[in-house]
Amino acid sequence: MLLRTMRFTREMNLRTKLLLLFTLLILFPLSLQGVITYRNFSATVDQKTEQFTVDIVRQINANLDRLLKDFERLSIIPLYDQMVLTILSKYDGEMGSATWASSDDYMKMKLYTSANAYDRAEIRGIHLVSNSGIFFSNIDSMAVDLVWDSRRDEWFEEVDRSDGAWVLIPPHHPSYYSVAPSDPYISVGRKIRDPDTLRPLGYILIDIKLDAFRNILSNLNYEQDSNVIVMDGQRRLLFERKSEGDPSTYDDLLKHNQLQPYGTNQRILLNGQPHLYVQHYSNYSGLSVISLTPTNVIRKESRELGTFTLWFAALCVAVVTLLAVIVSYRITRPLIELKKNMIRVEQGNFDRRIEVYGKDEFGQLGRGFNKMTEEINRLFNEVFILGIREKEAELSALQSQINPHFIYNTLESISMMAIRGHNSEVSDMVSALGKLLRYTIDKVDRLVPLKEEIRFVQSYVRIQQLRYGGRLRVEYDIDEEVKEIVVPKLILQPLVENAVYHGIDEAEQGGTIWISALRIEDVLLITVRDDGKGLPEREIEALNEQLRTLPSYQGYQRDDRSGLGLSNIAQRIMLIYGDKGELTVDGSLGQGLAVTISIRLVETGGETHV
Amino acid sequence: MYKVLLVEDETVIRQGLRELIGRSTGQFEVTGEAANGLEALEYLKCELPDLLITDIRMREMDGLTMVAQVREMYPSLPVVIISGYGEFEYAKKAISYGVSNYLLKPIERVELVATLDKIKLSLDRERGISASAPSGQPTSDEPAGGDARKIIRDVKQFVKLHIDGDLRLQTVSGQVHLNATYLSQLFKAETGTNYSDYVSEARMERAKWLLAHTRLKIYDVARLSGHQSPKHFMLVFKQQVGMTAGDYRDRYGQPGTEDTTGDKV
Repeated sequence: MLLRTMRFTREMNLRTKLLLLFTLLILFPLSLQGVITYRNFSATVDQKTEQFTVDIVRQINANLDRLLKDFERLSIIPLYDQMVLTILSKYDGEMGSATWASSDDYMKMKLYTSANAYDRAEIRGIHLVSNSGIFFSNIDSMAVDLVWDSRRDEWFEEVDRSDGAWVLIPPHHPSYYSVAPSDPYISVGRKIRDPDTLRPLGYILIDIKLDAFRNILSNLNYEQDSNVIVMDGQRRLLFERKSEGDPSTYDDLLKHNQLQPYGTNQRILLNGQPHLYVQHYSNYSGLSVISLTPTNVIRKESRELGTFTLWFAALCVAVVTLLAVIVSYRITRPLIELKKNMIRVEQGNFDRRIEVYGKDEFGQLGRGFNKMTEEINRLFNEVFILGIREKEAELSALQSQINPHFIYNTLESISMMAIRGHNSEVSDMVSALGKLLRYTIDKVDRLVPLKEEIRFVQSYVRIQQLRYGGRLRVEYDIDEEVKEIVVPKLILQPLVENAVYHGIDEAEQGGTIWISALRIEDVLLITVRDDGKGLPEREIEALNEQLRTLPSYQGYQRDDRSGLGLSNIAQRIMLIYGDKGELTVDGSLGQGLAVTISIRLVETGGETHV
Repeated sequence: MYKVLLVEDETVIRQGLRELIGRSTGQFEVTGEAANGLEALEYLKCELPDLLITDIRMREMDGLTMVAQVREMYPSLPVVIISGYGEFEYAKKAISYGVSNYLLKPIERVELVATLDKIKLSLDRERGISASAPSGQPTSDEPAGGDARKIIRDVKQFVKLHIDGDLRLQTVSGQVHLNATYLSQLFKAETGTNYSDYVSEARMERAKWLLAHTRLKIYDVARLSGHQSPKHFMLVFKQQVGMTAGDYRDRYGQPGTEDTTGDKV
């Protein structure tokens, strides 16, 4: 896997690599930091939300306490009212034995209870019940029974048993209402006893609408999605707030016996969904408030944060990628430019130049590249032109494509026929011609010892002498020590040819050519001098100037047969030796010409090379 | 007179070369000519020249192939190659065959003469002829009746150079411009040997050398060593050497000649 990744990395181009590198370098820490921050922050938020829920639940219970305390006080007030006590005591007797009470008593009691229930919307009714079952209420007599047998309702037993303490009856449907109420009521009830004798006189019942609880909840800023259950000390349901149509969470909890000990907050699974379970127990009322909040509701805030973080990260990625693309493009652009040019150079286009930006490494690379291509271009042109020049020199004498062996054999036949005819001169001329041809055509060596050049010139001279008869005289003055020095092939004969044509050809009385080669310190001097008519000094200067110019295509293409011999040699020498070699012309009008090749020798290991 | 076998397929060149060789040097004479390698090998089966001059490119068999086969027969025969081809491969091969010189066409007269002179010197050494002896025929520039020793030396040299030719006393004395009888007496007085004995001995030595160094057939050996009749030669050989010519070749002959003993007569 790692190996494959590495290979893949190697195959990618630099731009992609840089892009990847930048993106990774920026995105990795960024996302790590994002994740950690989000984790911490969401944990804190969750915790806060949870704590908030706990606080709310406590607050609910406190409010309930206050409410109930109010009702408790309300239920105890009759004990301090002599009239109430008197009226109740009037209707003592076995429960169910009562038949009626005086309307005056009803009126008094109605006034009394109405005063207590005044402006208390949550109170459905305050009822005072005598031992015998006379039912006094603040509610209009048409709406409630005037006499009520408490034994009809089971829940009343609890009040009966309370023995003076106040009790809270879970939601129930009292039977004393003429029209059965649709909603159940919660009631606070108390057995009224004579403060002095402690003899039971009757009961007080305060029916409370469930709206009272509902108001408490709605007054608090509490999650709408959480269920709230209020139950009493016996785990009976007093109130449950739930969404419309949902099954009762209380039933569910009871069924699964999941009601927890008091004062806990933990997570439970309800209907397959995780919920936060918070329970608070009131010491005063014995009520427990249970809140069940779906975890995802609690997490809503942190989820929102997560979404925000995610979107922000996506934005960052986009921006970073864009920046990375721009930066990597900027960095690799000179390299890619260089690569493109390199490909062109590979294809043989040597005159490519790169625009060099700045002085950084890429700038230096670009400059190096330019220098390199310039050099290649120069070398290429030199080698190319040099090759053309040499070919020209080799073939200028022989433009025939005839098989040289055929020519040699034919020359031999001619030579032998001449010998049979006792004509040695012809034989000698033919064999000299053969040698001339052979030396010219054989391309094996580019550099030859000077003595071979001399020998070649001698063959040439022999033929020319046979042509000119006694008119051509040639003197050799070759130092023994320079005979082994290697020189470019075919540089001497053209000079001699030049001398023959320009120095001797037109002179009636013929002429002499001096060929000399000697060494002065580390310079090899080869001079061919004639005693012809020479040239005016101005022309000699112009000729020297022309010989000093480097070869060019233009110069090469110029068809200048007469001057070709000299300029050809001059250019070859310049191309081979650079500034170490030159060809100069000397002389004056009427004094003949002297053409000199001078080559600066380089000593290496005792042997002389050029 | 050294004998030259000239192998060259162009008649004009061959004739020209023969004339050039005969005219420019005194010691060499073209005694055999061949137009290709096969002809040359055929010739060499019964003749032994002192020098082989050959072209390379020829029909039937090229010069280098022929030289390779000649080398098996006569390892020490000097060979000069004359060719229009100066290619390195040819030259390399030629050198590996021990060729004395490789001349390029068109040949230069001076070059050819220098080559032949060099070969002559080595042939002279081989034959035991003093290098200081004046070159050319003994009679060319020496007056007759000169120093007796010099005359005897010239006679001996003449014998060695014409071992298969006419060596009668009359012929030889004619060469040195002396009376036959006088020469006979002078020879006996100077060397202590009869002229005819000397000739017989020289011929026998030549026959031994040919038997040992060539695979020429025995009657060719007899002829080339100047014996008129092969039968007479074999008789004389057995009398003088103590074994037959065939046995001599078996014992002293070069290993390369073993397989041709069946050619004996």
